[in-house]
Amino acid sequence: MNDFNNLIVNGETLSKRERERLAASLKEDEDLAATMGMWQSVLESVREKMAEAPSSEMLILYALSGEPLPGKTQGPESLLSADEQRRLDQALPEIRAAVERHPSIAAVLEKMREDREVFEVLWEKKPRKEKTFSDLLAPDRAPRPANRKPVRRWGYRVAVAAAVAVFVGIAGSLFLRDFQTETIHASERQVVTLDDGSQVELAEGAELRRPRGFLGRDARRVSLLRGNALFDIVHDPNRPFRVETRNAEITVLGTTFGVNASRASTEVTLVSGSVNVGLRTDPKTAVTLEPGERSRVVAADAPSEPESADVSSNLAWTGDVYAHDVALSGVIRQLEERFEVSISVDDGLAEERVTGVFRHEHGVEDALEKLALALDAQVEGIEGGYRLVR
Amino acid sequence: MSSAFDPQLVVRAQRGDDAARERLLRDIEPILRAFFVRRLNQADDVDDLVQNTLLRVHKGLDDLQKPDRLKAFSMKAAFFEIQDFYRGRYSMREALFDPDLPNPGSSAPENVGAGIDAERALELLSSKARKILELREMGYPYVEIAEMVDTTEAAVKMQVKRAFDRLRKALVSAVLLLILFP
Repeated sequence: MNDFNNLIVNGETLSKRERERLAASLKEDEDLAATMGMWQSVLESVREKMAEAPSSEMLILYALSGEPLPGKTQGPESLLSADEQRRLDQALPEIRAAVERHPSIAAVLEKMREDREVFEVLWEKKPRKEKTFSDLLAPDRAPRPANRKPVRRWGYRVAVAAAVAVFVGIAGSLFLRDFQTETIHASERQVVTLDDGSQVELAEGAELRRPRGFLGRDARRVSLLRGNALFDIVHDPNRPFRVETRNAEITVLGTTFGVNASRASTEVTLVSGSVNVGLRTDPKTAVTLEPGERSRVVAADAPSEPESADVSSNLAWTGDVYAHDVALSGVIRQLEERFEVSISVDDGLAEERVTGVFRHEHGVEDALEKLALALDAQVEGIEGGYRLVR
Repeated sequence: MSSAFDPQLVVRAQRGDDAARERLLRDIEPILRAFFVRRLNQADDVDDLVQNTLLRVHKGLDDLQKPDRLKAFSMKAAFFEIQDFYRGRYSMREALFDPDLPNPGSSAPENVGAGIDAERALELLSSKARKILELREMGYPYVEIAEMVDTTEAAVKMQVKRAFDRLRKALVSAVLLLILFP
């Protein structure tokens, strides 16, 4: 069913394995195949309706005009020429009617207005030289528009579950590099920001080695010497991100993953996206993980074949709750433990499958609101805790 | 020394001064690059977006009646490129269905086995789910949709999955109804 979920939700190009499994599922399950047909029709119907929506040009003119956004009373200064304003005025009734029919159009207009603010700030700053990708993600980047709600945007996070490994002596020369490096020893949980904007959350006791300053022109590399770390990686296909441990190398293909390293073993658990895991001494041994899978590299052995992982358990050290296609009841139990609060759910909800990351720092109410949104449910406060109802 | 946004530079470029035109485009380029990188939060396709936007600016410069409107003109060009990007001009769009998979069947009544049509099926979806599907259809990736509806990417994907499940349940109900009341 994971492949099926991938198809319905992600629409990503499936791997060969996923295709074969999915094709088999559809052949065996006529109901499923029939629903897929109806799903296609629904999407086509959405497509037809959106084709009747105002054109991109009109939406762009609206964003550049002084018209207030739907629900607002004031707009910014108009940037339109007289001719553009005339054309927009003619289209306004149609745009307003479309906003009534399709709330998504209001969201698009809001997004375009935010883009306008960003563009205007950049225009005034007038960068004079071509910046590298790293420069553009430096702290002096254009501020987010004032009325934009802060939604955390995950880059690529790699979660590697801690594996207790049998101790085997490994030569200590694996990490000699000819660049300037620094080693960070985490005496408590901490977040390290790299020069490209990527972040690494280190568990207590973890050790990370990173270059001082610039990560690298052609590839970005850091070394996890020991312990648990969660990587939040900014995507840059021109500079793949590699995490090295004493015996393994993890290449980020676009993903969220965690790494745990001990002296002789490395375990990688994939939350989302894709990673390759291989021996540092023999990259040809690399295996590709899919979400919810893990692989282990012990000493100089080739990585183990990918297998299903308990993502949430493996990442429990973060204090966050990671759910990958699991029953809601399990997620609720973990939230109760993390936040020491009582949470009950309607019977009809308990077995609903959920996927998501619920950060401890955002609080239990945030987690419950996100679950409620996904499940078309509501959060009710009750004595001593909360209840999810539909 | 004139700046990149000096209206006189625009006028000179419009009058055929190639050096002025080149200077103009060269100075606009980093602004466009910075905008697209921040906008898309990735480095993919940025080069193409920048080049295509510069091409729009270059081609349309002669028609710019008021040289001091260069900012609005460039912004409009950049926004058009973003919309083209979402509509799949640049790369394979995130499709909601993989065309290479075996055809799961058409939506003809005989194939779905019940009288639910697409319109009615659409009405079964929650307004949140419809909003998400509409934004997907306009080409926005989930990560941006999540920002636009103020939630997480995972929650957005769950909404899509739930929409499908709701449809499936409705279809099963319709089949049962048909069987019970032929």
